[in-house]
Amino acid sequence: MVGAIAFLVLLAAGLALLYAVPKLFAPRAKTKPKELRFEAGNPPYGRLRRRMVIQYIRYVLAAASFEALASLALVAYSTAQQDLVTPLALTAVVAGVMAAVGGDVWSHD
Amino acid sequence: MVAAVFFPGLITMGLYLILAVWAERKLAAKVQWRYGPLYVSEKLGGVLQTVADLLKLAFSELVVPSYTNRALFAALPAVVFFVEALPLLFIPGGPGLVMIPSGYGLLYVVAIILISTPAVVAMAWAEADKFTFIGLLRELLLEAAYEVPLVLSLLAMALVYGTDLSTYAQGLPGIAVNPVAFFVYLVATAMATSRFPFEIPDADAEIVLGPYTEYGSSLFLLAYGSNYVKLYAMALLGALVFLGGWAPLAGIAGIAVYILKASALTAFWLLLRAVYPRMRIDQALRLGWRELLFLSAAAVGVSALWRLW
Amino acid sequence: MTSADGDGRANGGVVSRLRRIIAEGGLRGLASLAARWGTKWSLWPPHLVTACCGVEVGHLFGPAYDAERYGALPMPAARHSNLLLIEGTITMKMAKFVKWVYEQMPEPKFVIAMGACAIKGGVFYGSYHMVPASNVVPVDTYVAGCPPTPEALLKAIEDVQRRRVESL
Repeated sequence: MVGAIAFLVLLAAGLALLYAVPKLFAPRAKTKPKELRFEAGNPPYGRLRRRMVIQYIRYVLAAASFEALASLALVAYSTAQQDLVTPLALTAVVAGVMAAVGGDVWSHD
Repeated sequence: MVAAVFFPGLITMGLYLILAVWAERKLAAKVQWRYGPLYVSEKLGGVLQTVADLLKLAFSELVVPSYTNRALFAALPAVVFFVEALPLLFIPGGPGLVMIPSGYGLLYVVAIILISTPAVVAMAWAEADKFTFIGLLRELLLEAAYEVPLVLSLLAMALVYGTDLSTYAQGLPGIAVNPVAFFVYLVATAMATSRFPFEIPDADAEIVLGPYTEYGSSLFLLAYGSNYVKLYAMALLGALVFLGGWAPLAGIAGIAVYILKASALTAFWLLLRAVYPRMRIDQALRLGWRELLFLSAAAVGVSALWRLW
Repeated sequence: MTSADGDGRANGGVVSRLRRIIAEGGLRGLASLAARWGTKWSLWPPHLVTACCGVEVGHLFGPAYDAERYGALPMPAARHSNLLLIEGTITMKMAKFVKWVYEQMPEPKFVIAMGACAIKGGVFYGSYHMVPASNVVPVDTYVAGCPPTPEALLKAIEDVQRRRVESL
């Protein structure tokens, strides 16, 4: 277990280093095209007319990840002598994040 | 601790990333009658090329554009890299040389490998441009093609040897027990790590770089490098499950044998880049749901026969 | 030409040079050395073909000339690349996009202007709709010829490596 924690910590430290190095040492020059999305060398033009199916992929993402949490809660409940703490905590996480996302979507639309 | 830092952990992973990218470029160059990376370290055949690329990317400007959610944009490549490295927690590098010893190691590894696709999809969604959206859809469709055969081929091995990964080095290697499952694993892994005939999500001739289009600097390093981390985990898993891991030897020599086997598998997957054209997405899906699915079902059948016998 | 040149000519030389750099510039000096060495051997041009010189750039990465020996690797997009190869004629219409691609590339970045048209106009000299490359982006190296041979381009890449990257 010590090994696992060491692995995760060192990996995270390495990844953090990769953010720190360009922040500290790389030259910087802010230009407008860097702030805009890549459109194969063209300046983006026109504005969004309607929402496409792809823009709802976040719901699929949320479903895919929370589904796993929900089934984890079920497994925890059925394997660990009907332990209530783990499933309740996991459900609270799901509900909390869902509520936050739902509130955010509702406030925008 | 040795497992975390040395093998299969960080140091070997880093060396693998450097050598695999170099080997891929060198192999493709050899097939195309070129030299490939050379003058960066001429005596060593250009093996420092990846180090130079890494330094170049790490020391170039970190662009986090403002048109999208900047926090998600910057954080998700690291998340993808992190998730792709998680299977290493459960893959043993030798007898007892494992970070988390578990009787269900194979299950954890499969679960984590399948989780990594949502992470890539989230990354492409946070980048929010046309090319990443197309790449995202292709990534999802390709996962639909390889997920079931991959899981079935590992299930076939679990039927014979169980889910404890450390037992796979004893007895016959998996390729002798179930060659069909090995073949399915080879093809499904080529799909999972977008090796060549299935390099569909990041087809650079069609959709810029698919899910990696918007990233430069060290974000590109993280996003694109995560693919090779996945390749590393899959090569180790394949070498252990199907080629017997450290089998005839133990200790340091066993580790060397294990690395040799994983490198042989990797060389095969890397060579695909030079010898295959890219499939269309419908061809890849058809392959996954017809030939590969039948073959993986047959692999489970073969394992069932072993159990009965 | 400096001595820390990839394959470590004299080991003692490299070590003493490193020690001197750390003594003089500290961490920042070391970072600059690493950045220069990495950038020198990793010049990635984006895919931007403005004219017929693009055919010669095709040769440049093909079997016979193989610029990948120098670490150059053609990349599909501006975001991951740092060497802009201006391939021949730039019309007024195209100049807008050349500038856009250049500005979208992350720092540090370099420009090679290729062919007579990019230098002064070539066969289109004096045309109403033609811009020299230096009016659009800051050019580091010019390659003469109509079209320039791939060898000349290799030489230009070497020139950027030696002259421009070393003096970053």
